[in-house]
Amino acid sequence: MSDVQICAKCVLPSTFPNITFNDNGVCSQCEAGEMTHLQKFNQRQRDEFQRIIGATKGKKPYDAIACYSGGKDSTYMLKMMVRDFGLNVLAFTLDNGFITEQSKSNIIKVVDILQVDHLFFKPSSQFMTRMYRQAIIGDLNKPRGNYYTRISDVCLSCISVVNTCAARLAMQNRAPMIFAGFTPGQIPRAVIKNNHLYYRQTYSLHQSHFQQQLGEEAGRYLNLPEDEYEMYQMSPFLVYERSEAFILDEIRELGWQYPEQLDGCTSNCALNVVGNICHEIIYGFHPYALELSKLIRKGLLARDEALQKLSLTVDEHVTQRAFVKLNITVDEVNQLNTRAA
Amino acid sequence: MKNTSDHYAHTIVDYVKSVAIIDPSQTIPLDESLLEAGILDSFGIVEMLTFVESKFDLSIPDEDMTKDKLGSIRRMAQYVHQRKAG
Repeated sequence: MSDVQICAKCVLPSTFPNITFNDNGVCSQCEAGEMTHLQKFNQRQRDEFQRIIGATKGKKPYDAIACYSGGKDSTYMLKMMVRDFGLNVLAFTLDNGFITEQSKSNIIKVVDILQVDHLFFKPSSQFMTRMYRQAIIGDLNKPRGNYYTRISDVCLSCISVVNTCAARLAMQNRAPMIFAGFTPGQIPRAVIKNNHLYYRQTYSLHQSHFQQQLGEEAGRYLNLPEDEYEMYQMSPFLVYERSEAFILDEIRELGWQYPEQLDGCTSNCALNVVGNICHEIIYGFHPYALELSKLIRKGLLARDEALQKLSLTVDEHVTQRAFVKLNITVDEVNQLNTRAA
Repeated sequence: MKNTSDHYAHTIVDYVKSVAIIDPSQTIPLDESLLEAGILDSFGIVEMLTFVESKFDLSIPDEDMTKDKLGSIRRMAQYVHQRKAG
């Protein structure tokens, strides 16, 4: 890996697909610069975000479902929802079997202080283990076309279950909005309507692929009821851009504490490191390199901090424990580099 | 070619080439859905629409989010051309 070039401005490596570098070592994605009318687009996003909150607030028992992982971003998001937007929130946490004890303690403290209704949902650990194994070793998230996944295969499978749970809860409670703490590097729009171009179509493609790979049981976690209920996916960090330092400062007063023994790109999940390791082996680049690079370009993260996040290692025993829990052997991990081909 | 449908198509193709996480040898089809062609995932489609709106200073209303109007690069370029001309 010593001959891998890293962009002089962001953290994208020369192993990233389609990337080129200029004479100053700056990558093609940094060179592309901002879109011509980005400021106006951002203003329209802000207006739309606020308009939807104004139009939907107070009409149902819950204004919004919050996807609350217990990490720093979703914790701050929950605080914004309650204190800044004045929303009635039903928060839920998918317990994927790898949420650290410190994270669970953070969740309980935070929802209590913010006086938010909250649910833990823990799918069958047998199913989740099978799904993660299939995501890493099998074909669950193998590129279905010609693209590579932009997040790790493990995270992609997990977020699919989270998104389905959120949509189901919104439908059951007729909540008009779903909030998620995606960063500006993780999602391109602040508001996505559930009937947005291809949303339903791609959802069903995704669903049937999961069922082919994991059997009928997958439907229990990934099927959406036939329901035309319209809701909005809201990503507040695209409208209210906040630095990590600001967020950490803001959530300290809620009693939130940084969990130990995690890699530099998560603040709640001990499985993340497995996804990172496997993604690097299969695709040759860190799954967070793209997202962190976008944050650097937006001025929300310093390049040095991003490099530190990408290189922060986790105690080997912790990583091993996660692999053992997933029933994945060292040999299987070593064979992953044949998968991208 | 500036501000013609071809110009818009060319700009969108350049964008897809620069951001799609695909094999560099992959051809970008003009008349096919990029989702069905396996060039972009659903996230990539939303990202591309975001690019089109911010690059060409347009707001695409929900009712225009159809396969007929935006289902391929060529259709997207024609849509932008019509909106800018109107």
